[in-house]
Amino acid sequence: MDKKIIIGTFLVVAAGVFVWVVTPKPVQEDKGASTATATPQPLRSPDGSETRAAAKLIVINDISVSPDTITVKQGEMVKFLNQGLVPHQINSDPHPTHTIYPPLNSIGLLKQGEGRSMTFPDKGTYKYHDHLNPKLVGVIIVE
Amino acid sequence: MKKSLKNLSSIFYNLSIYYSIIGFLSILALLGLRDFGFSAVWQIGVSVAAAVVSGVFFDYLEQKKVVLTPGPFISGLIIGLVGRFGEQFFVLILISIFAMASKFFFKLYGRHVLNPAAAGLFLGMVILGSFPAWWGGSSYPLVFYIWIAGLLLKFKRWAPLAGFIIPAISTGGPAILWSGSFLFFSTVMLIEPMTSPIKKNSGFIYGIFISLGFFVFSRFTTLDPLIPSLLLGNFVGRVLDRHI
Repeated sequence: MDKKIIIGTFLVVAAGVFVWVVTPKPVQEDKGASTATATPQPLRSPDGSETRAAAKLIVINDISVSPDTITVKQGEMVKFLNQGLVPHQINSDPHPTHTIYPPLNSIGLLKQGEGRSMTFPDKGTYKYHDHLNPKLVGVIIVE
Repeated sequence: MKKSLKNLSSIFYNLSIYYSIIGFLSILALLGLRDFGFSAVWQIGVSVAAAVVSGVFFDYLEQKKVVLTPGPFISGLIIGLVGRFGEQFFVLILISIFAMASKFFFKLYGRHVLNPAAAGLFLGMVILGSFPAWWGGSSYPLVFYIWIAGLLLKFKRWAPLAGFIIPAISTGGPAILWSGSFLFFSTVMLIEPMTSPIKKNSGFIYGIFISLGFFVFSRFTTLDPLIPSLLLGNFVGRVLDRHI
């Protein structure tokens, strides 16, 4: 391969990385949320009428996850909220590859006070952990 | 312009793998600064400082002179980027000291056999309860693919990579190829030149062995599976290089 192409590619990539680093990151959703329940999401009752139920909340602080085991219904919203002093990064088990349930990785990095929600459409048991402190673990059981 | 390109080209081709790794790890540190702020810098800075000081100390014990080599910088960067985020400074310092001490105490066929950062992180895990977080670059898998291109183009360290990644995909699924932690391990620690095989055949077998170790440790223990598999693989790789 031509040396100039290699050097040029390297320089372009290096410049791209530099721009990426210095560019301000987009504002994270749910920043600064401090309420105990999230925005209620409508659920359908058996007779077809809508009922409203609060999203289940999982609070992460710097030494624990609370509750560490939570049971939710299929399609119910679960919100992860960082009430600790340091960032936490919620990822699927196993650590460190996070491959058992990749959609859980969308929660990702939560800075202090940040929260992020997701739904679990399928029944099952979903284990997760804080990638930055792998001893903080939790389980979500979807029925 | 032509002369500048020629000079840059010359720099690129003369760059050693050690300084390339330091450059790449520094980019990961910058990305960590972006995500985590100065906490990341302190963590990495403490680890590097402790590794360099203890590295100089142990090298002095061995060689009776003060030498400064790239190795302790690399080990310190890795410990800072892989160690539990927000870990207490004294734990990071001890892990760095363990890492440099392992070069002094664990040798096979005349040179140190264990990946120093991995040895330090392992001892930190089992003695101090500090589990590796692999946070450095974990959100930027694309950066690792650019690094892989460089590794393959210039340093041709594809054999351990291929030996490790191919079996790992079959057990972890293709999603593993987008795991920043997995890519960090594969492209920085697995291919470390002093503790991984030089020959292609032995490099490939070494990669496969570590992949198997990763599978076993992740299924049957609560330890971080990558670190102990690498340490065992270091021994196997050294023996393979000598006898194959």
